[in-house]
Amino acid sequence: MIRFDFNYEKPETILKAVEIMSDCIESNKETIYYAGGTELLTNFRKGKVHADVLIDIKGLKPLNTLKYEKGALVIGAAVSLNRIIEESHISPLNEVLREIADHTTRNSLTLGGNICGRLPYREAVLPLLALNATAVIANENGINEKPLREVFDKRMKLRHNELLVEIIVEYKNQKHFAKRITEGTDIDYPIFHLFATREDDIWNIALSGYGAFPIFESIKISSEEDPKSIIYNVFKEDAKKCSRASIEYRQHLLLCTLEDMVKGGELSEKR
Amino acid sequence: MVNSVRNDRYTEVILNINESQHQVLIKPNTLLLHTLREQVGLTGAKGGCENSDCGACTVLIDGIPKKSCMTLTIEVGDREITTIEGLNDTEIQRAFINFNGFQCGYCTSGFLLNAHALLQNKPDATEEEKKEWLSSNLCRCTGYEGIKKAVDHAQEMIQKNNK
Amino acid sequence: MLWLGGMELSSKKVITKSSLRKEGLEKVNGQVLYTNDLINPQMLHGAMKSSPHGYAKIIDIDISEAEKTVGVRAVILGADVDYNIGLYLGDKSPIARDVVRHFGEVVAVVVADTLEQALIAVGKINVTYEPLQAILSINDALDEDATLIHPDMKSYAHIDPINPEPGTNIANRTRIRKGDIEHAIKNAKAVIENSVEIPCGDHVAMEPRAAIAEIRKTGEVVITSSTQAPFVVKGLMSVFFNIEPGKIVVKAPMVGGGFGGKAGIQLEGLAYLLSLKVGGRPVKLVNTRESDLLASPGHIGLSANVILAVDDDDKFIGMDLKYQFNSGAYADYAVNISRAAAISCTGPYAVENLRCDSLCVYTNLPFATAYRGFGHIELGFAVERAIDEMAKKLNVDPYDLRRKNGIKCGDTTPVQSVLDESTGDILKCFDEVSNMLGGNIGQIDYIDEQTVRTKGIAGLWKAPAMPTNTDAGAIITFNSDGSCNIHTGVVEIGQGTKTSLAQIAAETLSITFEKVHVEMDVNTKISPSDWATAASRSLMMAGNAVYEACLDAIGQIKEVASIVLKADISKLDVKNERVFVKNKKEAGLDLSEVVLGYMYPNGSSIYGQIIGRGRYIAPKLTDIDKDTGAGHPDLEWTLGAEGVEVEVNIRTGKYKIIKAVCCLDVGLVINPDIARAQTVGGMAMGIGYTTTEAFKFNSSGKISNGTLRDFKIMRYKDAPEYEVKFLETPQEDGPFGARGLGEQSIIGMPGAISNALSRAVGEGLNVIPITAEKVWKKLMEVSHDSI
Repeated sequence: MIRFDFNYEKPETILKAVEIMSDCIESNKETIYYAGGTELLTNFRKGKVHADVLIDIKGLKPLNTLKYEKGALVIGAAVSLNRIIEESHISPLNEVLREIADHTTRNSLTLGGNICGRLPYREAVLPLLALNATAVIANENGINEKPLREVFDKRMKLRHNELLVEIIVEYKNQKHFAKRITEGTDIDYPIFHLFATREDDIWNIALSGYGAFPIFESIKISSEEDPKSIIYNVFKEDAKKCSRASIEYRQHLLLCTLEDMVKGGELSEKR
Repeated sequence: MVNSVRNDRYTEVILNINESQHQVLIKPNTLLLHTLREQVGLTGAKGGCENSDCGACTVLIDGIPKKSCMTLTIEVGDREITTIEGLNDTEIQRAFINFNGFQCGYCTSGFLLNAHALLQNKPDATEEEKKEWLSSNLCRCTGYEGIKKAVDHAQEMIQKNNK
Repeated sequence: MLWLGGMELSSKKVITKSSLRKEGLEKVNGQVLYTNDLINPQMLHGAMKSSPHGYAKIIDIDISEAEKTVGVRAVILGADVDYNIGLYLGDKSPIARDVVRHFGEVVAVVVADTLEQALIAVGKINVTYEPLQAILSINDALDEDATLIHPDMKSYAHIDPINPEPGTNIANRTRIRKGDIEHAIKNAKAVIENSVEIPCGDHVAMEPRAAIAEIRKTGEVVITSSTQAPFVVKGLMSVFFNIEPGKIVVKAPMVGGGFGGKAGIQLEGLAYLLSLKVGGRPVKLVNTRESDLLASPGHIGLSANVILAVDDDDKFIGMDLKYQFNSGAYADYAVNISRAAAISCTGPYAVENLRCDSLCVYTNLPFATAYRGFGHIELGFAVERAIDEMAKKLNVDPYDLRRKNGIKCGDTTPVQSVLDESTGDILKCFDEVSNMLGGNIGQIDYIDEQTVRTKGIAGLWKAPAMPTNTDAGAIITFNSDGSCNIHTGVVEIGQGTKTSLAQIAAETLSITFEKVHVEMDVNTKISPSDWATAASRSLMMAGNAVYEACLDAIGQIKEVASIVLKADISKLDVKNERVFVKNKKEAGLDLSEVVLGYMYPNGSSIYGQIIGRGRYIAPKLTDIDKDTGAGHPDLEWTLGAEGVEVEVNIRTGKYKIIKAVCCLDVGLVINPDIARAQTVGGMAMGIGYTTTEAFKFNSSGKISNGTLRDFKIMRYKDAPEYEVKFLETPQEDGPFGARGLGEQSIIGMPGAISNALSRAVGEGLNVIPITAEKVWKKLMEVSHDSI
C-alpha cells in the first residue's frame, strides 16, 4: 500500500509530457515519468521514493512502438522487456533481457525503466552500450539523438524534464559473449554480469552487478597483447562488496569469465 | 480512459473484470490488488509480499500475467482483467487438483493464472519456457513437483484437444 | 488399540489410496477465505512501527502527529502494557518497553479506520533511540562479561521443564548424560571433532500472519487468526490477559502455510490489545512481508560442536555434544527446541555413552519460534557432518558407517527410553536411499576439468516434542443420506491431514470417501480440543480420535439396529453403508435409516441422532530428569534417510542439486499422493535452508535481506528431480499403523547436501547457507593447503 497521494497525468503527446514535467519542476513538485512501475511502486511502498505527480508515458505512441527502420531496431522506451524478447531479432540483446527479474515482472518492466532506474544493476544497458546503441531523447526543444555511450555514465545523464523516447540498435552480427552469475537462485540481482563484443581490435566490455553501477569500457587491444590480463586489470579495482558477494569473489568470477571468453586471443562465442 | 487525476480525489473507473463491468471509486495511488480484494470482493488474488517478488497477486491483463501489487488501478480502466474467479473448470485447475499442484493454496491463484496464460499463449511451450514463466511465482509447500506435474499434464490435454 | 493383525491391506478400500483433497476445488477456484480475506466494514485496521536498531534504549516516542492523523482511533506503546508474555518463559513485552532487542521489533501500534490511514500515522511516529552494542553471535552472548539481554530473567515466570540461568544469556539448558563418555573417548579407536553453524532464518509461509480480534459486550473475546494452534492461542490468551477460558473463542480458517511459524501466539495478543483500546471493535492486524520476516519470529540458529568416538568395529561408542541454539531476542518456542534437540541429540544412531549440553542463548537477532523439524534439522546437520568426517578419517564408505550404527528396536534413545517394535527400519532406509542414488556414495565423478559430481546421504529421526498431556478429539455427526461430518481441532495448513482423516473415517465406517464431509475451519467453541497442528502429530493423534469416534458411532448404530432388527448387537455388522445381521445381508437397514434416529412405518421414532465421540491423549509420557535427561517424553519416532547428488563447478564453486531422494518409514501410507507431496515439500525447504536462506546483518544487527527480493527461497526452475520411498513398519498404536511424516523430510537435507559438497571440495563445509562463494573459498583453502 502506498502511503502518500500523487497526481496522475496521462499526456497524449511527448511534448505535452515534457511540458507537464517542466511546469511541475518550476512549481517544485516532485514529478516522475511513469511506465511499467515495477521499480517505482516498490520504492513508493517502502517510502524510499516520493512523488507529487506521476506522468504516465506508456500510452505515448513512439514510446510504445517496436519497429525496424533502415536495418536498425527502434525500441520505444516504454516497450516491455518481454515484448522486445518476443519481437526483436537481436538475440544477444534478448538473451540479456531474458535474465532480468522474472517473466511476469518483465511483462511490465520497460526498457526505459530499466536503464533509467535507480537500482545499481540496469542490466539492459549492457548490450546496448556494447552494441553502441543510440538514445532518442525529448526535451523542451524537441527530440534529439545521441550515442548512448555519451549519455550513459554510471547512470543516464538526463536533465530532469528530459524523456527517453527510443533506443536504436543496429546489430551487425558482432561477435559477442555474455555471462551472468547470481549468488544462488537465478532470479536475483547479479553478482556478476558481463556482456562483451569485439570489432577488430576494439573490445567493448560492459559489466553490471560487479561494481556500484554499470561499467563500460571500449578497450583497444593489439594482437600481440593478452586481452585477458588487460581487461582484468581495467576492471579489477571496480569490484564492490555487497551482501551478496565479496570483492575477491567478484574478481575471481571476472577472471574465470575472461578465461572462458578469450580463447587463443579471440573472443569466444560460447556462452 | 483516465487522463488527469488530482491526488487525493477519488475518481470513478470502470473495470472489466472476468467479462463483467465494475464501477469503483479509486485514488491514483490505489493498487489493483487492493481494488480487487477490498472493493470488488474478489479475494482470490493474494498479497504475499506487495513487492513484485512472490506472484501470489498475479492476474491477467489482456491475457498477460501481471502482478496486481505492482499495478495502479488507474492504469487498467480500459483493459480486460482476469482473476482466478474468472477461470472455471479449466484444464489447469483440474490438473492442479489431480496432481497435487497445491498444498496450502495461498500461492495457487497466482500460479494458476500464470500457468493458464502460458498454456493459452504457448500451448507448445518448451521445458525452458515453462521454467521461465513459472519461476515468477513462489510456492513454499510443494517443492514445485506437483505444480510441474500438473502443468505438464494440462499441457498434454490442451495439445490433445487442439488436434 | 492394536492395529496389527487387523484388516488385511488388500481389503482396505479408502486408506492407502490417493483420495483427492477435500478442499481442492475451493483452492483452485480462489474460494478459500484465509484470515486476511475476511473483509468487512466494521473492522478497524492496525499497523505496526518497528525498530531500525538491533539493540537500543527507547528514549522517547512522540505520537502526537500520529494521533492527529485522520481516521486514527488509538496508538498503543509498550508503556501501555506493563506485563510480559511468553510461551514457556515470560520474557517479552507485547510491544517493546524501554528497550528494543532486535531489528524489526514492534515499538508502537496504530489502529485506524483504514489500513492506509494507519500506515500514514505509523509514518508520523517519531522514536528517539540510544543504540546499544548488539550481541549477535553465540560466543559473544556466552562471554562471561557479556551484556545481559534480559537482566530481569530471574523474575520471568517459566514452566518447569525449562531451566533458565539468570545472570547469563542462557534461557534454557538441557543436560543428557548416559553411560561414561570420558571412558568411551579414552578407549576409542578413533575420535573426530567437528563444529557447525546454522544462521537464523525464516519460514516464509506464503500467507503473512494475520489476526482479527473483537471483544463482545458479553465479555467474549473472539479471535480469528492464521494460526496452527487455536487451542494454544486460547490457553495463552487466558493466561496472558486473565480472561476466562470459556470467554475466548479462537477461529482458525485455513492457513496459507505454517511450518511452525504459526504454532505459537503472534499477532493475536496485539490485535486483542488494540480492540480493548477501541471499545471492543473488531481490529484486523496483518503482517507485511517485512514484518512477517522480522517482527514475527523465524527459525533458530545453531552453533554446535560434536565429538564422535568409534570402537574397533567402527561402532559409535561415544558422542560428546555441545548444542548452542541462537534464539534471538526472545525465547518463544526456542527454549523447547533446545530441549527437543537434546532429547534426540544423537540422530538415529545407537550410542551408549553420551554427554550433551543443549543451550538456548539470547542474542539481538530476530527471535525464533518452532520451525519444521523442531531442533532435529539442526542436530541432524551437526551429527551427519561429523559422521562423514569420521568416515573420511576411517576411510570407509559413509553409507556403510551409517548402516553399521543405525538405531533399532531394543536400543535406547539418548534419554534411555527403549525403542519398541514400532521403530522404523533405518537400515532399510539407508539401503533405499543408496539405491535411489545408484550406490557408491563415497565416490567422486569427474565430468570435465571444471565439473565434478558427488553424492551425500544423511539419516534422520524425529519424535513430536510436545506436552506430556497432548490430546486430540473428534466428533462425528450424520446427515439424512447416511453421510457424516467430521469435526476435529486440526487446522488445514496445507498438509492435507483432514483429507487423510476423512479416509480413516470412511474406512472405519465402511462408507465411501465422498460421503465423509470435513469441517475445514476450526472454532474452539465448537471443535473438540486439540493441542496444536504441529509436531507431525495430527494424523496419529487426531487419526486415533477419529477412529474411536467412528467405533463409537458404529456402536450406536448397532444399538438402534438391534432394536429394529430384534437382533443381538454382537451379531450385527456395519458395512457398505448398511447395518445388518452377519451373514444375512438382507436383514438390515441402510445407514440413512438409522443415523438420525429410526422412524417406524407408523411414524413413531426411537433413539435420535448418532453422535460419534472420539478422543486421544498421549499415554504414559513423562518429563525428563534434569541431571541426566532420563525419561520417556516421546510418543513415536519416524525414522528415515535422505540423499542428494550434486554437480559442482570446482572453479567458481557454483553447484546444482541434480537429484534429491528420501526414504521414510511412516508405518502406513494413508494417502500416497499427499504423503509424497508433503515429503517433497519438506525436501525442497531443506534444500533452501541449506543453500540460500539466512538472515544477513551488519554489526549493529540491522538485517539487510528482510524482503523476498533479498531473502531467497527456491523457485520452480531450481527444483531438482525428486524420488521418494516409504517403508511401512506398523506403528502399533497409530491409526491403521500410521505415524507422522509432516516435518521429517526437511531434516536430512542439510547433512546430505553438505556432505556431498564437502566430498567434492575435499574439506568440510560446515556453515549454512552453503553459497557458491563459500564453496569457492573452501576450494581455495584446499588448493593452498596442497601447495
